[in-house]
Amino acid sequence: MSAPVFELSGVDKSYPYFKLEGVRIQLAPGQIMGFIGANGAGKSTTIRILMGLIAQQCGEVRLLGHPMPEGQALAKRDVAFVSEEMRLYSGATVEQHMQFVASVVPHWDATYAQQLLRRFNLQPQQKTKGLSHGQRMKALVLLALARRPRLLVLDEPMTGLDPVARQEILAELMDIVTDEERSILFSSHNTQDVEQVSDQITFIDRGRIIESRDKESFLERWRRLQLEVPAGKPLPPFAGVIDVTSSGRTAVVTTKAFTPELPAFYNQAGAVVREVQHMTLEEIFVAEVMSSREDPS
Amino acid sequence: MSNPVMRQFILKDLYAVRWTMIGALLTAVIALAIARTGSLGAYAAMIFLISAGAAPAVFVCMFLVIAERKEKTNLFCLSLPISGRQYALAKISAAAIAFLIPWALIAVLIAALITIFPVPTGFAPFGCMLWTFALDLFAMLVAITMVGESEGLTTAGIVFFNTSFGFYFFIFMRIPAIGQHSSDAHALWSPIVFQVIGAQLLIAAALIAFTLWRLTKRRDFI
Repeated sequence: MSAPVFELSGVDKSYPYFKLEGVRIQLAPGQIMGFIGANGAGKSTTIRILMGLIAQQCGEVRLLGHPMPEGQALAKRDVAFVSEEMRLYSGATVEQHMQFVASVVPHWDATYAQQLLRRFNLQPQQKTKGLSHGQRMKALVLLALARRPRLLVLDEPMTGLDPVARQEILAELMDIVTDEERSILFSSHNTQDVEQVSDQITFIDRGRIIESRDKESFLERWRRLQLEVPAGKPLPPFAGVIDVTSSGRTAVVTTKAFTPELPAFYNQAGAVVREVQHMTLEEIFVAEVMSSREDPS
Repeated sequence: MSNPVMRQFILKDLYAVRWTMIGALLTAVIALAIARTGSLGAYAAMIFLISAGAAPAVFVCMFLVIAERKEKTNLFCLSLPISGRQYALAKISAAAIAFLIPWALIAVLIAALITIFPVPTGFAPFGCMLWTFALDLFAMLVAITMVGESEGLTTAGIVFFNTSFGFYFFIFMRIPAIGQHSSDAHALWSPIVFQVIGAQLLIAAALIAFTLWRLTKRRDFI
């Protein structure tokens, strides 16, 4: 098995009103990780620690094998980072930015950069102060992709983009991971974007990683069961059930560890299983967050 | 600067403040042109020259450090293959070059004109003191903007910068060995002039050393 492109283990970082606690995640080469959390959950802080922009107070971070933050200059030769908060020099043109990035990175692909200029309909001579939000994000994505990085780190890149711009950027992202050695860490509070492209999903809430696994296993394990329960008959507990909502004789059970035994278990308990539903990533995310808040352990 | 990435960052910053540097040199040339048009012209020239030598300190720190932090272009820069410390060091180097080039060129120009033309040089010792004082102000602004990240502190630093020349005149022109000879035909280089210049150079070096030392301790660059 090849070494992970990045690995955070036991990472802590405290601020007066926020604490990142025991963060432990890793990503294998060729994978796309969707990093999902509500606003203020700790996504950007985690990413900035990963990129070496801020230092963890404890724990270990390795990026492409380099210890962080000490090895950031070397690691960032093969890692590109785009953030929604990032700005370009307002007085400089798109082309000047391209020339500058090309002068400091090892693998600038000028041909690909020109293709992206056309695909994103960006004018090289345009000063970036005249760019719309969507154009600015496209320019940042261009500057990142043309570096041909082994890891692309995207912090909320789709925030505020119109649907067309989102699809244009997503299509480019999908293109680059046809190369099995390239990986992406993609943070968002929008589960739809993440669901489209990710192989791995990590949920973060209130500074703690609450779940991290492959997308298929997420979607397979989470289910919602609609039951008809005889009056006055309580539902027995079952491992993995995180929520039971009752209304009259109808109960809705949410489980994070669905197995084919669960419907049979409820049938044996006297309930009738009316429906077993798959859940969307957004529903899973909300249920996971609510469950972790009720039981922080 | 042996690191090629840092070198590119310095060049980028110098390009960004090229008009500040050119503007300072042009201002100095204009000042020297009007210096011999009478006492009012000489007074105006002195103000222009002080501005040309010192004001780039404010512009350079504003453009290269404060604006970059405020507009979050530093996040873009730090996404490139450079460490936070290298980035800060490149920033200080670019600011120093951008400030020192016009500062030194103007000093050389004035020295050349004094040597070529028969002009009174009594003001020269105080002029040298004032010129090295600009180094202190530059080093102070670099320390404030690079180490302290408070807008209040930066504003206080700029206010101090603007008012300090008045106080400087007030304090040092009262020293007989300096003030009483400033209108003489020939410069009087008394020991106190060298002591003040030496102290000012030490202060500038100490401020830059402090800034570098603080940056080596910094772990968060955003």
